[in-house]
This record gives sequence, C-alpha cells and structure tokens, in this order.
Amino acid sequence: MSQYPRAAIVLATVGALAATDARAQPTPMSVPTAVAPLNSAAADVDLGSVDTGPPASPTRRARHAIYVEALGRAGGVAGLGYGYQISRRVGVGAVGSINLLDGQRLYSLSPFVTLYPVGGARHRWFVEAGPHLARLVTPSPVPEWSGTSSNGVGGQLTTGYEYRRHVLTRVFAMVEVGRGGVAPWFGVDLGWSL
Amino acid sequence: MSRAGRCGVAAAAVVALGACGLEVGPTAAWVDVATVAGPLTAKTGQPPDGLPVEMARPATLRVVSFNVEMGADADALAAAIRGNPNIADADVYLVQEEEDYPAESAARAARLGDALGLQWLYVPGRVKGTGTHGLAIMSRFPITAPAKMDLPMIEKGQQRIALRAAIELGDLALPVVDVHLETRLNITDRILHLRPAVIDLPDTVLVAGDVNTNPYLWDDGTVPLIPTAQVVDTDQAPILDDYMAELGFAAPTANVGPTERKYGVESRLDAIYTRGLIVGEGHVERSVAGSDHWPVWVDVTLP
Repeated sequence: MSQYPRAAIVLATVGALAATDARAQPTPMSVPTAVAPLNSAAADVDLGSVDTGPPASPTRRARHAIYVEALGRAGGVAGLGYGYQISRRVGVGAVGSINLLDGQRLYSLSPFVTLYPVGGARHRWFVEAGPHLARLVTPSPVPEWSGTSSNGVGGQLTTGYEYRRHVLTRVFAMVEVGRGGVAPWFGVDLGWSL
Repeated sequence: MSRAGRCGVAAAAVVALGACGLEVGPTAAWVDVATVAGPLTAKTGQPPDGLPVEMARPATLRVVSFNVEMGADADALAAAIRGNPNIADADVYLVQEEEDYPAESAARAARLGDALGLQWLYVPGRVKGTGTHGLAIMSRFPITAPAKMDLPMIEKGQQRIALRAAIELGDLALPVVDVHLETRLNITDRILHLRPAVIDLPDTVLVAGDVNTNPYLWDDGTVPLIPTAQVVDTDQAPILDDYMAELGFAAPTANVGPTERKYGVESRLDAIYTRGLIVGEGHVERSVAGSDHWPVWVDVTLP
C-alpha cells in the first residue's frame, strides 16, 4: 500500500476516536420522582453519569452508519461502506471502492441486506448477503499491447460481530462465490453510527 | 455530525480510492556470461565420458521447462525425469531454481546434467547464503553463445535473470531464452519485468520458464485479493499469453492447465512460447515428483 492510503486509514481512525470523545460524555438527566420511589422527598434526582444505555430500537440519529472497511467486501484492501437500519433487526447497505493497483483499476460495489438475529443495541451478531459487482481494467504498460478488461458479478455471504455506539466496529468472516469458485475471506469495519 | 466526524468521513472516502504500486527498476542489457566474474561466474560441463554431444540436425526437438525447486537432490530429480517417458529423452531442458553451494560436491545443475547425460550450463542470478541461485540449460546438442540479462528489479523482490543461449542443431543455431520471473506481481508489472528479455529477440526463438503467472490481483505485492479473483478475470497466465501473442509468439502451453498446486490453489505458473517455429501441443507431466512445479514440454519442428 502506498503511504497515502495508510496515512488516510490512520486519519480515519483518529477521526473516529475524536468523534467518539465528543459524544461519549453522558448527559445529566432529570427523572420524575415517580421513578425514584426510595427518595420520595426529592423532587428531582440527578443521575449524573449513570449510563442509561441505548434505546431498544434505533433512533433517527443512529439509523445511518458510515465506515471504512479493511479487506472484506471491498474488492481491494480498503473500501467505504454505508449502512441504513430499517428496523432493529434489518438493515441495508453497500461497500464500494476504487483501487489502483500497479496501473490496474479495480472498481467494486457490494450492496447487501443485513440481518441481526442475536444481540442488543450495542453488541450484535449480524449476517449479510448480497451481490458483488466488479470491473477490472488493465491498461497496457507497453506500446505493443492493448491491455484488457473484465467484468463480473459474484455473491457474498458475511457474518460477524458488531459493536455500535457512536463508533461502529465490526469484525467478520465471509465467503465470495463467483465464476472463479468459492473463497473464504475476512474483514474489519471501523466507522460511525450517525 | 461533529467536525471530527466529518473529517473522518472525508478520510474514509480517500481510503476507498486507494492507490498502490510497486517500483519497477531499470532495464539491463544482455551480457556474455563469460565476462561475469566473482561469485556469479557461470559454470558449464560436457556429458560424462562416453556420452557424446549430438551434432546432426534433428527433424524435431523436444523441449522441457522445469522449475526444480532448488534441485537439492539431483539424483532423485534425475530419476523422476527418467521415470517419465515423455520427458526422459527430451533434447533440451530449460531449468529454473538451480543452486550451487561450495559445501556440495558440485553445482546441482552439474549433478543433474551428468545424471541425465547432457551438456549443462549454470548461470547464477544472485548470491544466496554461501552459494548462488540461478538458471540452467541442459542439452543433447551443443550450447553456445550464453548470455544473461538482469531483469528489472521489483520493489520487495529479488534479482531475477533471463538466460539466453543458442542450441546448435547442425546448421541451425536455435536461440532459446530461459526465464524465472518474480512471484507476487500484478500482470502489468509482470509484463514490464519480462519485456526486456523478449522484446528484441530474433524472429525464430523459443522462450520458456517459470513466469509465475498466478491467479491473483495483488495489493502492494503483499495481499492477494482472493475474493476479487472469484468475480473478475485476474488469472495472469492468459493475459501474458495474449501479450506474447502481440509479439508474434505462439503459446503451446496455454491449455495445459495448472503446473503447480500449493495451499490448495492450482496455477499455471510455467509456460513455453515459440516464434518462427512449427510447434505441437504443449503438455504438463504431473507424475514427475521432486519439485513444487510440474514440468511442461513441447515438440518443435525445425525450419
């Protein structure tokens, strides 16, 4: 990998952590006395830093996620992913990338449907499936040859663990199916839920 | 979204537009191997006593290309070759991954050549430990005019060479080129790596060797993009065949199938190309043990 993408990955990671810092401070909350029966004399109870946890279903702010994907469905070594959570158990998304590899250009797009069979708002097991569309262009590096290109469509089945609370982190295994056969693979996502 | 988050998203977009590439070094010229001194000095030898070098021009020539994976056990390798009737009596062997160490009784190419009763030529490409690593040609016919070319160095790679010689077939001197290319290259760099050794060859010539045409697209010469290989055509072998076709070469080994199986992956890493010759169908001999590659061969009808 050239210096540029490595630096970008570091920058993206720092950005993610900074965003987390900016949001991770719990907001002091006031609750009615009705929910604090052991202190009925108090009109309000300041819960201070008590973490009340995420809502049971995704809020409007948490429906979107954007992330950097290393390896995984991106086709190259890194891609950019977006996810939208339709309900607590179902989401959709896509990962895309454009990679320049020794002059070859690899365009890759993987839309998918996400299911969350097990887990809560923060820790979840997910399963994703969808097609993988790719185009590889090989320009000639020499004058005596004209180069070549190839298009293809495959399928991807992905499963793994997700942590989501402002920061989105995923580690997963996957299989890619195409005209070349079946291959196992893996990947890591790091990003934000917005 | 916070400012930090926006910056992160922008950085992520940059990641998705990644650019990676290996540096390809400058090209070199053919060098008469007799002018190379020091540890990379070439070695050659005649057949053992009683086994003459043939001088008459044959009607056809059987040529084998074989990566012998360091060739440490030359006797076993010779037995494996002699045990296969299709390559046991070949006329010319273009051999890759031979080695020579001072602690051993003779260069491994010498031991293999002697065991097969052939004239042999060993040309080191680089120093390896206390010895050398290189290419060899073995032939029933005289080997003349040997020259080597340092192929362009590839970032993260090793010095690779091409070995060129003439096989004296009566009144015909057939140029042959033996090559061994770098491993984890993309096809664009592989073409740049091979090109200096094949671009200015005579009209009638045979090129063979381990061209390492693996089935993957590589990121930075490190990560094979395995999922991508299932979806688009990343196999480098047919693309290199196509490039050689543009130079007027036939690819008789195009349909032989894999010449190596490693980690469950089968690849056509080895090839023979001919130009200006009538050549038969290529073959691979998967029953020949002793190496991680299988030898490939063709019959050439001489002009």
